[in-house]
Amino acid sequence: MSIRPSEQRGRTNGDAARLCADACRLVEAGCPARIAVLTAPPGMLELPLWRLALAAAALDGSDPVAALEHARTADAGEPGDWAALSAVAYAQARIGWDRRVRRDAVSLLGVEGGADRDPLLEARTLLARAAEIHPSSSLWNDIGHVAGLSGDLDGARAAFLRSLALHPADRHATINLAVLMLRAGDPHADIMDFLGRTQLAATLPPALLLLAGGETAMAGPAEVHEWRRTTVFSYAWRRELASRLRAASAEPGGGAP
Amino acid sequence: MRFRLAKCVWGEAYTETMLQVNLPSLLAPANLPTAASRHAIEHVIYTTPADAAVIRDHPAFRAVAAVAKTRIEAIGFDSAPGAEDYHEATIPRMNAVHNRILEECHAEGSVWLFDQPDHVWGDGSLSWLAETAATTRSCVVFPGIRTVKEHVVPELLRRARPDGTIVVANRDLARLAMEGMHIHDAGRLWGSGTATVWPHHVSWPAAPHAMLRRAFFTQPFAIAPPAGVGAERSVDMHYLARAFPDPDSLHFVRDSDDFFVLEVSARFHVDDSNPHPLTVPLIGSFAAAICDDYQLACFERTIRMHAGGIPETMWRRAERRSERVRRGVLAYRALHALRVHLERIGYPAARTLRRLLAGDMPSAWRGVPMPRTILLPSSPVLGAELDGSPAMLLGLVSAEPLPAEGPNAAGELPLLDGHRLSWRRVGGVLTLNDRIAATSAGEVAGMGLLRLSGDLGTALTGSALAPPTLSDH
Repeated sequence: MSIRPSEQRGRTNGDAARLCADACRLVEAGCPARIAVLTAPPGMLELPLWRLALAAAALDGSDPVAALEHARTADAGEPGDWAALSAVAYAQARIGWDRRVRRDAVSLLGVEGGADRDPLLEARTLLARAAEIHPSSSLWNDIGHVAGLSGDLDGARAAFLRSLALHPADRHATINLAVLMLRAGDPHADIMDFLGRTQLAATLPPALLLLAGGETAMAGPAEVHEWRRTTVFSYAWRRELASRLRAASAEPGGGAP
Repeated sequence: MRFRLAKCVWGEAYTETMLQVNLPSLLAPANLPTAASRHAIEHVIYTTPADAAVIRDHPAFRAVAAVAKTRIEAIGFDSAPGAEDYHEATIPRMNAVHNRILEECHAEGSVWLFDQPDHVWGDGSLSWLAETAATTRSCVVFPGIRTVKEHVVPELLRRARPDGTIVVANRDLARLAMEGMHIHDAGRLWGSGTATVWPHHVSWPAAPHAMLRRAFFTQPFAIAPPAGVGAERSVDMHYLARAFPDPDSLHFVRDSDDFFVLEVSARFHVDDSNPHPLTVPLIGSFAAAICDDYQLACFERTIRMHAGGIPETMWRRAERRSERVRRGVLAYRALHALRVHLERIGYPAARTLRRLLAGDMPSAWRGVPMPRTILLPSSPVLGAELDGSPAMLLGLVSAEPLPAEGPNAAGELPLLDGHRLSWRRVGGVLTLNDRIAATSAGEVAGMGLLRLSGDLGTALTGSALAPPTLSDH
C-alpha cells in the first residue's frame, strides 16, 4: 500500500511520509486515538491505509460508529484486505456487545430491545472471511473472542483450539481458552492440565496464576478489577497497520509509486 | 438559605448537550421558575471564553437568564482540541472547577445545587431539591441513571415545547432512562447476564419500568460545603464521607417521584462490563476492597425508581431480595477480612477460606438470587475447625439464614455442597452439627453471622465483622 502523490492536496509526499511515521509511533505506543488530531491533507482520507489508521483512532477513542465507517471505506478501497475486514469486525463487535448488554438488562425491566441485525454475528462472519484470506492463529483467536461475546462458548472453544492448532504458543488464544474454561465452569483440574501442557508466552491473569499455583478452586473474583472471564482480541490488524504505516513512511516520497 | 445552581462545561459536545437539554429541562415550570420564585438562587456556568460566546448567543441561555440571576464565570483553560484524555485531562480540570465552586459556596454561605451539562431534570425536581435542602439543612444525595445520549436526546427534543422548554415529569423521565439505559448502568442490574466489576451501585428490577437501587457511592445534589474539604474526583467517591462524616446526616432521595435527574452519555463513553452476572462474592469483593462503613451505611438505603404506580407488595418483594444480597455482601466482606488476616499470619486454613470466598461460579449463583448467609463460629471453635477439619468451614456456608426468633429452637440449614447443617439453640448457646459454635446470646443474635472474639478477632473488630442486627430485618 502506498501514498500516491496525486492524492495529496497542498502537501508533499514528505508530509504524508511524516504523517505516517507519526501515526505509526502513536499506534506502537498504544495510543492510536491521538491520530485523530494529526493534521492530514484532505486527500489522505481517500487512502485505505489512512482510513485504517483513522479506524484504529476511532476505536481507541471509544467511537466504534466512526471506526466502522472508516474501516468499511478502507475495506472498499482495498477489497480482500484482512486487516480492513478485521477493523470492520472489531467495530461491529464493540457495537454488538454494547447492544447485547443493554438489551439483556433492560429486558429485565420490561423494555423491548428491538430485533434488528446482530452486529456480533456480522463481526464473526467478517473475521471468518479474513481468516480465509489470511489464515492465522490471531484471526482464529478473534473469532473465538467474538463467539464468546455472543454467548457461543462451544464455538469460542473450537476457534481457540483452531488458533492453537495453527500456532501452539499463541499467547492470546492460550489464555483466552483458559479464561473460557473458567467461565464455562470446567473442572479446574482440566484448566490446570491445559495450562501445564501449554506454552505460556504471557503473564496469566491472577485467577489463572492461582490455579497454576495449585489453588484448585479459584473461580470467583479474589480481587476487584480482575476481568478474568473476559477474553480479548489479538489486535493483529493494528500491529499490521503499524507495520504498513512504517513501510509507507520509509518509502522515498512517502511511499509514492 | 442561598443557593448556587452551578456547573462547568467546555467543548463543543458538552456545550451543545447543555444548551439542547440541560437548560431547557431547568426551564420546566416546576424547576427553575418555581425554585427561583421561592428561594434566592443564582445560576452560574463556569466555562471557557470560546464556549461562553456560544452559550450567550443561545436562546436557552437567554431564557434561563430571564428566569433566574444567571452569570458566566471564566475558567482558566481553553477547550482542548481533538481527543482529550478523559482521566488525565478532563476529570482533573472538572475537579479544579468543582473545588472552586465548593470554596466560593462556602465563602458566601450558599448551598451548591449540583448540576452538570449532561444532566436532565424531571419537572419539579429542582424545586423539590431546594425545598428539601432548605427544610432539612442536609446534603441531599441521589444516584441518578446514566443513559445513552443518542437515544435519549432525540426523544427529549421531540417533546420540547415551541419555546424550547423541555417539560418531562419524573415518571416519564424515569421511563425514558430505563428504555435508554447506558451500558454503565445496565452492568449494575441484578439478574442480568453481564455485570461490571465495579458495582458502586446495584439495581433490582421490581416491576416493568421499575427498579430498586442501592448505592455504595452516591451523588450529592445539594451541598453546603464545609471548610477545607476539597473534591478529589469531583464530589464523587469519598468526598461525601470527608465532608459529611455522619451518613445519617445525609438526606437520601428514596423515591423518583420526589426527585429524578438523569445523565446523558455518549453510547460508547464507558464500557467496563464483564461477561458474568453480579453475584454476592463479586459485590462483596468490591465492598471489601473499596468501601468502608460509610459506603455500607449508604448501601442500606433503597431508592425506588419507577415510571408508573407499582403495588407496594412488589416494592416489598424487591426490597427483601435486595436486603438478602446486602446481608450476603456484609457477610462476604467479613469473611474477606478474615481471609486477609489469616493469610497475613500464615494461618494454614487461609487457602480453604479463600476457596470458600471464591465460590461464585455461575452454576452456583446464577438463577439463585438468594445470597448465602455465611456463618462464622466464634474464635475457639474456628480455631479448632480450621486446624482440624477445613471441610467444616466450607459446610458453614448456608443457603438460608439462621432463624433469629425464639430463645430455644432447632433446625437444619441447607448447605451449598448439598449437605445439611443441623443447628440447635438453647438459651445463649448455639450448636452446629452437635458442636458448640457460640456461647453467648450476643454471638447468636441476628442472622447467624457471629462476631469473632479473642485473638483472631483482634484484627477484625469494628466494621469488618459487624454482624447484621435484628433491627435490620
